[in-house]
Amino acid sequence: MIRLANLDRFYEAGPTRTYVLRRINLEIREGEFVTIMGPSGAGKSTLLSIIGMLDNAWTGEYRFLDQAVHELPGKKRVELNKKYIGFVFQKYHLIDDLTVYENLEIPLSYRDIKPKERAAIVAETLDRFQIVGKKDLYPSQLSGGQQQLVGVARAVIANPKLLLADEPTGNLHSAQGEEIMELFTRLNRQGTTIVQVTHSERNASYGHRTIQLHDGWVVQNEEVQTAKA
Amino acid sequence: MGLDLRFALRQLRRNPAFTLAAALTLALGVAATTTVFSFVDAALLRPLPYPDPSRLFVLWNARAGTDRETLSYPNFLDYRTRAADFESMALYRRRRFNVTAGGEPERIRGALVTADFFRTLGVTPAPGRDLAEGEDQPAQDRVVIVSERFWRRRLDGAPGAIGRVLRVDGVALEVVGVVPDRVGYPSEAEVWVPVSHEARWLLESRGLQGYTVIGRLREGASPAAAQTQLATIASGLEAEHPQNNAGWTVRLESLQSAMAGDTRPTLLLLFGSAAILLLVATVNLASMLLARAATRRREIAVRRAVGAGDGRLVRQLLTESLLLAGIGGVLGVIFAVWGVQAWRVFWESPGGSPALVRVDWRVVAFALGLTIATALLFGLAPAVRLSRSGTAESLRSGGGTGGLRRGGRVLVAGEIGLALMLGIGGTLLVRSLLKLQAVNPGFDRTGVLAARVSLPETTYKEPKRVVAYYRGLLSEIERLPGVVAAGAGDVVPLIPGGGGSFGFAIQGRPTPPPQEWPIAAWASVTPGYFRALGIQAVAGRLIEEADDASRSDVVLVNQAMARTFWPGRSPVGARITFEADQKHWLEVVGVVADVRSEALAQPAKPQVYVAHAQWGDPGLSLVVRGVGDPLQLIGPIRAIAQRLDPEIPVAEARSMEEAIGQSMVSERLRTAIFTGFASLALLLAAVGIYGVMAFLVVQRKREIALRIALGARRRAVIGGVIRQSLSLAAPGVILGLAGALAASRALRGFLYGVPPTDPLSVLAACIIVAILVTVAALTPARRAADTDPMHTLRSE
Repeated sequence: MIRLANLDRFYEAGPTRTYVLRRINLEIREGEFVTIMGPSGAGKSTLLSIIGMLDNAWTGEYRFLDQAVHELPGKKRVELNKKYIGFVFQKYHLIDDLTVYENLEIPLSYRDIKPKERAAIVAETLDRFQIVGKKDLYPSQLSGGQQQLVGVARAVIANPKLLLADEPTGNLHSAQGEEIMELFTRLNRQGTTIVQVTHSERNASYGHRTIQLHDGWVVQNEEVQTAKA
Repeated sequence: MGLDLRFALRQLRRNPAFTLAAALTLALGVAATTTVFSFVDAALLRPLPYPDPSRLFVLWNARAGTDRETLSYPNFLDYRTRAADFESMALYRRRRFNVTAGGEPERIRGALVTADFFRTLGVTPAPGRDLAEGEDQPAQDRVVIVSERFWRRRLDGAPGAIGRVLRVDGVALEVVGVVPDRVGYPSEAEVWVPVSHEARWLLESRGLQGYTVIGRLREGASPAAAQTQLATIASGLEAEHPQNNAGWTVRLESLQSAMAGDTRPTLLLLFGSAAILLLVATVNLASMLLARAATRRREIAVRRAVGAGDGRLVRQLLTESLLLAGIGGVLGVIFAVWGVQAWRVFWESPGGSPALVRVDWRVVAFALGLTIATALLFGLAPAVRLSRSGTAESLRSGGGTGGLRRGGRVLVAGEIGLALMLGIGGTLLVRSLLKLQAVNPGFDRTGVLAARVSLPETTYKEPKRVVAYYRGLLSEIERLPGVVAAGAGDVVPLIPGGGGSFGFAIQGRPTPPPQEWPIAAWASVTPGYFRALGIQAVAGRLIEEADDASRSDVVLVNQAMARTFWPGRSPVGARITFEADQKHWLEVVGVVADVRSEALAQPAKPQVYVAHAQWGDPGLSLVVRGVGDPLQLIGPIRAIAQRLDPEIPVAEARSMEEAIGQSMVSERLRTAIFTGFASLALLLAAVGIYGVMAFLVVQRKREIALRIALGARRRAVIGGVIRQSLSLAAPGVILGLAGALAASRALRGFLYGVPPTDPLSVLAACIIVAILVTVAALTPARRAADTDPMHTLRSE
């Protein structure tokens, strides 16, 4: 599904280049649940942004579902993102001025889905995530766990093939975190490919494979021995 | 789109302070521009309310140095007969009439017209009918057309009023038609009387101009060809009547342009200032949106992360701008309706009727266009900038604000520059007005009342009767308690109307042909005129009671005339004539002080005063000096006039103080509107500075906390923030000075006694800007000084 070859990401300040990612060569197959780990500043979130096509300032090759992303113009990359990718953020990043219902509706509206169909999908998602009672509340009226639940619901509402999660439980207490990870596992079993960034070994144990980054380099790429059921 | 609109509405509702400030800012700009546009549209743009208005023209007499003179009646008749390119040609002269419609006589504005006047315009009076052919000839001319306003006011608006008889200047005339106010011309006319009611000698004189001629071109005739044809006719008339027509030709001007007249430059100036105000408001909005954009970077990044493309993001943000602009636009139009109503109270135009000025669909369409344009202008830049902000970076950190700081600085500098430009214009106009108000008019205005009396020539045919009437009236007025002096003249300084200007020759000097005679203004006055107005004799004597028809004609000249034509010596004893055949000479018996008679800004021109008792002009203005409030004298004076002749109204009574004020109405109005716009622009610029400084102080919070922790005193922190605001404004000041310099030529024609680059005005405007900037920065500066260093640094 994802194939990165010799991918670099750097910042230029005058004559010097500061590399965030160096010669990344990586393959992620459809249906995998991959964890990216590493110390702060290793480039984990940047890699996730590049995979999610939110960051376009890189060099090298990136193939996504057999499409050569490195050859695509920005607009086409947005199209790919829109069609196949969902995002979950550590800080939830719900839109403060919109209700739960509207936050879920937003990705569908960007995909030009008609209002009636939108309403049906949102209703189904609210039901699936058991947040029907919260639909008219604003994010500030929800707990952290509830907000992240909405965040995940928003990420999967358009039925993405790939779910990218950046420290999805970083702001949650352990019980809430576990709930989210269980949710990810269920989604993965239903066919969604998941790539998560985390510091937590426990969270990593939910995945199939762990990739270790250090100073922008991939230093380890191995299967998880015992996946937690 | 519906979703975009819903979110936009939500955004505005959840930020009511921002919404209100932004909408009001835009409303002010739209209101100013729309109000002025209503007048520009009525005067300069909107087609006249007549069929085929592009075929309507005014024929002006023109020669070297003047191109807007009126025509004489005989010349008009010749042009009408000979100009084949015109379908019809008509004439009018503005006049006031004493009209009695039952009850007290009233002095009413109107016009003497030829019978085809309304047919030329393309207006059909209703109810009633137009003047029929021949009804502008003696014996068939006992008819009058009235305005809709007069019909409602004096004739109860009844259709049965057609056929009623009015006494107009003592003559019974039958009302035959009513002209709708919308198409009434000339402006403010309420009665149209056949031109045959004019004094015969005026209609027979080819030398006496005073009639405005309008013509309707034949279909298909080009104005250029008509102009050539008129020039040929003018050459013919010059050859036939060289004494009166030498050097004169005729110039065509569209009726629309002629109606706009002198108001055009003022309207364009005010429109320019309103447009600058709108620009300031737009820039202010852009900087407000830019500041708000800082708080929305994360939201935009999230939207992008969940699938929004550039187009959708720009659309969402522009929907918000358009909605905001829509609210501002609607408020702006409401304010403009009030603005137009307020302005119409003061509006006086030589041709344009205030009735034509209204907020109609054209004006609303203009406001709508303006609103959309400004929304795009202030919304597009922040929208594009936001939509292009780095998504990943914004999600991680909330985004940088470097671009915003730069954008804000540029916008504020631009805003200050534009506001300063208007500020300099405003101070220049105020200084000019103050100088004008300080001008010595040459007469003593305190305690003087002026009022118009007109004796109808039909009942006061003989000059003797006229003189006797005025003598009787003035002697009774002089006996009123509190009256110090009473006089009358056909001209009163600074009150329009009356008098005239004529060529003259001096006895004993080589005499050029009459068309090259120098010109002097003419006034016919009674002896009390000078006493009442406090005009002093400088040499010789004033006009006396004894200067009547039984004695040889005398004349006084003013100092300007004495200086010009008798430099270094006294003109007393010299003799002058105003008649081409040089049979009738007037002896100069005195020199009087100069008086600014046309306008305070215009220095006195050569002027003569003749003794009324030797000429017997029927229409005079009374000038009465009293000891108290001059307006208290109106009642007793009216009572005397009523007793002497119940058909003669005493009209247009006003104090000379008021007359001076009225003579400056357009200067005052222009200055008030311009400085109003300038003040608003400066206020908006100050709000802009406040917004940017408040934002910058938040950005610098950590640095300020550090400074305080390191020992910076409160005063130093406040001073630092204010210095920063002044340095923000500095490029704007330079921009404004350059702009004001570039625009100074546009203002030159509106200034009196002040050069357009007057350093004092420029300095005053700069000081005002500096004070405003300082005051605007004071609150953010105080907030900065109140920073708790420990708390701030710990939370960092």
